[in-house]
This record gives sequence, structure tokens and C-alpha cells, in this order.
Amino acid sequence: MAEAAPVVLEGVGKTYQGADRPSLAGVSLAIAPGAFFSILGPSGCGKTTLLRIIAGFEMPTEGRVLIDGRDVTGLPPRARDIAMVFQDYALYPHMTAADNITFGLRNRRVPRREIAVRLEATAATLGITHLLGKRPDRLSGGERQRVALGRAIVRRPRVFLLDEPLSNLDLKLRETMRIELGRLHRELGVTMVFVTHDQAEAMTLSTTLAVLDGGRLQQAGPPDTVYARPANRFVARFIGSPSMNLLAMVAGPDGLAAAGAPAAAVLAAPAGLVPGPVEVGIRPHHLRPAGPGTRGLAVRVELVEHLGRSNFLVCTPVDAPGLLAAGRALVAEVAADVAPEPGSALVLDAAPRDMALFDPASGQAIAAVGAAGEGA
Amino acid sequence: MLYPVVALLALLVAVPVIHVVVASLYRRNLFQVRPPRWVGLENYYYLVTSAKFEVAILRSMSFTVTALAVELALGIALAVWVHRMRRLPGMGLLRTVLAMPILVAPVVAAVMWRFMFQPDFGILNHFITGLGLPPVGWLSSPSIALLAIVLIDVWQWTPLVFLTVLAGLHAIPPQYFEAAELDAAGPWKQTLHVALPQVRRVIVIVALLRLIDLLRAFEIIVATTQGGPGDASYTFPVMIWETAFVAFEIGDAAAASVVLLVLVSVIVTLLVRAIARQGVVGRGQG
Repeated sequence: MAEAAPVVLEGVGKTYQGADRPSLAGVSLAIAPGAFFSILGPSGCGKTTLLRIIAGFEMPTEGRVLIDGRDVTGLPPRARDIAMVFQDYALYPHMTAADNITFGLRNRRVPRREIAVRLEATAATLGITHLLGKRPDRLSGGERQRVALGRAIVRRPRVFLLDEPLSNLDLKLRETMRIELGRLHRELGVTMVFVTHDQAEAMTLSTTLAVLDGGRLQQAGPPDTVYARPANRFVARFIGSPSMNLLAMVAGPDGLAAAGAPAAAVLAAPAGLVPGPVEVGIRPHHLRPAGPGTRGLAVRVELVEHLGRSNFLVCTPVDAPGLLAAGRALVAEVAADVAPEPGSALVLDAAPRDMALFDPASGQAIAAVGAAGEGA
Repeated sequence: MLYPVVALLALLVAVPVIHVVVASLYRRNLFQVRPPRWVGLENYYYLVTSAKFEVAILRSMSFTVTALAVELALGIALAVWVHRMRRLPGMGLLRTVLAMPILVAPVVAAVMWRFMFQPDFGILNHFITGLGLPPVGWLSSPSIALLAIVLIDVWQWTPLVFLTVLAGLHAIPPQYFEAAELDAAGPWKQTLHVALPQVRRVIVIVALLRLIDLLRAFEIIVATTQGGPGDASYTFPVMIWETAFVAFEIGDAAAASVVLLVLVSVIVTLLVRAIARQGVVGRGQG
């Protein structure tokens, strides 16, 4: 198998002709050799454009793309030693699975005997040996997916690009293929760049996760860091389901108080926090019901969602109108046996170490606290 | 709700056909005041044993096959080329210009070409004699006349093939070409292995349409050579026209029309069956 290659993007930007806004702006990334690198973001964030720039189907209007240290910005896709799996597979409909897989090798004039050997190995890896004689219209969605992967693998590329490869599969198959992709990555040891809008895929598969929004890189880092220490308000809201609660608070000498309610502090503040307004992010599962009479966020339970393993409590704060952005509710994830009546009062507490802190003006994480902030 | 429509369509199709079939069983000449005389299948017998029947079949076949082959080859080639160049500026305009001949009425096209074919002051011979070559008798030379008519039909109807195939090419998701690009397929292989297989159905449909139309082609021939010189362009529809409106033998013309109708139906049905068996039309394919 070919050595994995690093991919480096330097200030990559793309403005389509006639567009008033760039689709991508100043994206700089270093993708380590052998990484499973996921690009995650909402629709229209530029993630597919970014992948297509790495592939060479789109030319960046600024910046450079380096694969294995070589500037490939001006090179056509075929000269980049990459393979790509397309969202709808793009298998050639009139060719058998075997012909689909070997088309590229035949075009590259690989000796016929070697093609046979590689085809056999690829088919065995993917468990599709029995499908090789069939045409795509005779294959199920999952089988087509495997053939599309086979077409990429058989080339032994140094970088493997995947454009939402699982989005056309049903939920069950998706989980199977997710595990399969992870296994392939380990076995092949190649650099994989994976575009998705599915957090679960990105979180479980990646060694590194990049979050994109509005054509700008918001954060890149290991999935658990991105999850625990979001670089800004967008990442905090985007990663995790239900999303992180963002609370407008004021840091004082004795702790955090709700903004706009000059009452006493309700939560303990992380050490070293500068007094003043601060936006506090708390994941739903970090909010715990506190005992009666103790300090904490006073809320009214509006709705209890039973998930079996746990319950989501959808709450509104009591006497703290400025705490949440308009239209937002506070969500706490609690054990399945905690099921207060809707309408009842509750006090929620959170530990300072579970808080992500943001500058209310810029929305950027305040790095002074606790863990090392992974800068965007 | 459906029945009135079906009834109307049946009426519109059936009445003329029945009328022609009935007419084919009578001897009737518009120049004679005698009432039509029942002759049974005599008109058919007379038709198939006549020398002009054989000539008409031969001319129709060579006209149809030649024009169909050229129109398909040229139309597909143009479509592939314009599709490959679709990113270049001005391609939309080129497409419109290439499509314009369809808009011209066939008779007008024929008259226009007749001027260009004119041996003494026609523009084609102007160029040919300009090159020092002898003038060509485009419509007067028996060996060239049918080809000249093919040329008119090609000029007028290649755009239909071109437009249809181009629309089919534009409907191919670009990922297929990108995948082929990654598979190091050059322009020729992309055309052969990605573009053409995916527009196979479109090509078959437009070929069928052209085939039916060519078997019935008539205006441009009547407006140029009227079947001549000699019988060089004496196709089946021209024979019907001549029988009906030059000789005024309505019964014979009706019999020939019925034969043409049956021939076209049989050819088209056989083709559609053969194609359906290959899954090009009918059964869907992912």
C-alpha cells in the first residue's frame, strides 16, 4: 500500500464569478499523513467546495494546496494521486462492478496481470467478490457504495477523498458502513478527508475534525477537544445534540449571576475568570438537578422528553429574562428516573470545569480557562 | 372522463385511415367523370408488380439510410463537441445558431437550397468553379441528385439530433465526468465510456423519430427534383404524390399509401421491440 501523504492548505479561498461573497475564505489546514480528517458544517458552509479544491475539480481563487509537500494547486485531478468517492457514487452504469473498479487502472496502462491481482485483493477487502460481474443497476445501495469504495481503493491513492459517502444510505446501513470505513482507514493507513454534515459520523470516525461555517474555518482539532472546548459560539451550538446551552451571565466575586438580573450569583465560576459579562456554555448532560434550597439556576420545567436511557428536560429560567437568547430554552439531560412534572420548579447546577466560556461581544472562546484552547 | 378523449383520438386517426383503405379498393381517376369502380385488391396487385414500386422502395431505402446515418453521426458529434466546450463563452449562441434550420419550413428550405444548387449562378458551384473544378449538376445529375436532397435533409434535421442528444448530455450528473477524470480517462474515453452510454436511450429515440420522418419525407423532394432526374430521387412518398396528383389515380395512390403505412408500422414496431429487449426503452434502469 502506498504511503499516506499529508495535505496542507494555505490560505485557500474561493470566490465564484459574480458572487458577492467568497464561498471559502482564508482556510489554512494541515492534514497529517494517515489522518481521518472530517470536514463538518451546515449546508452551504463550503465543505464540499473545499474537498473539490483538494481534488482539483475547483481552482482556488487564492491560496495553495500541497499534497505530500508538493504544490498541486495548478495540477489537474488525475495528476494529484488522490481518489474520491462521490456522494451518489457515480458508478458507470453500463460497466460491471469489476470494470468500474478497474477502469482507472486500465486507463493508466497498469499490466493486466497486476490489475487482476489488485481487483481480487480489493474485492476481498470489501467483501464484494461475488458482485464483480454485476452492473450497478443490479446492486443495492450498500453494494454500490462498496464498489465505489473499491474503485477508489484499487488505485492505491495516497489521499482518499469522500464526499458525504454515507448520506444516501438508510440508517442501519449507514452504521454498518461507518464501521466499515473506520476499519478500511485502519487497514489501508491512507489519509482520508471526509466531508459530512452528520456529526455522529464525524465524531466517531475522525482523528481530526474541522468545523466550517460561512466559508471560514471555525475550529480544527481532535473531536473530543472540539466537543469539550468549542472555539466559538458557532461550534458550541453546532456540535452536540441537543446543542450546548449558552447563558448570558456576569462574573462577580462570588460566582456567576444571570445577566440583566442583578440578583446573587447562582453558579460557581471557573477560577481565574475576569469579572464582567461572559457567555457560559454548558452541555445538557452537565446540568444536574440540585437539592432544594441550594444555589443554582432556578427554572420551570416545560417539557420532559423520554429517550429511554435518559430524559431531556426543556426548561425556561425563572426571574432571569436576559439569561437565554430569545426563543431559546434551557435543555438538561438527566437520568431516566428524573422526570419532574411539567410546570414544576427545579434548580440546576453545573460544575465550573464543565463550562465553556465565550466573549459575549466576539463569540470567541475565552482561552484563559482550564484546558488548552485549540485556536481556529 | 377519459373516454371522450379516446373516442376523439380514435376518430381522428381511424377515419382517415379507413377512408384511405376504402379508397384503395376502388378504381378512381379524378380526370374521368365515371364513378369509382370496385376493383378489390387489383390496385395492390398492380402496385407491387409495377417496376416503379421496386424503384421507389430502393430509393426510399438509400435516402433514409444515408440521411439517417449522416444526421446521427453529425448530430451526435456536434452535441458531444458543444457539450465538452460548454464552459467556453458563446456556446449558447452557437447552440441557437446550430438549431435554426429546424425553424425553416421544409419547402422554404428546399427552395433556398435549390437556389444554392443552381448550376450556373448557385453559390455552391460558384465556389467549386472558383477552385477550378467543373460545375456540378446538383439536382440534374442522376448520380448526385439524391445525395443533394440528403444534404438538404441533413442540413435541416441534424439540429434535431444535435439538440436532443445535447439535452441528454447536459442531464448527465457532472460527477460521472469527474470520476472518469480521476480514472485518467481522456476526452475520447470520457465520450465513449461516460457520455455516450448515458445518452443511449436519447439517441435511440431520436433515431426512431428521424427514421419515421425520413420514410415519409416528401416536401423537399417534390420542391426540388420531383423524383428526377429520371427516377434518381423517386422515393415511395414521391411515387404516391405523383400517382395522386400528377396521374390523378386516387385508387392506386391510396393503395400505395396503405402499403407505406404498413411498412413504416412494421419497421418501427420491430425496431422498438428489438430495442426494448435490450432495455433501452421501457424498463427503467438505475
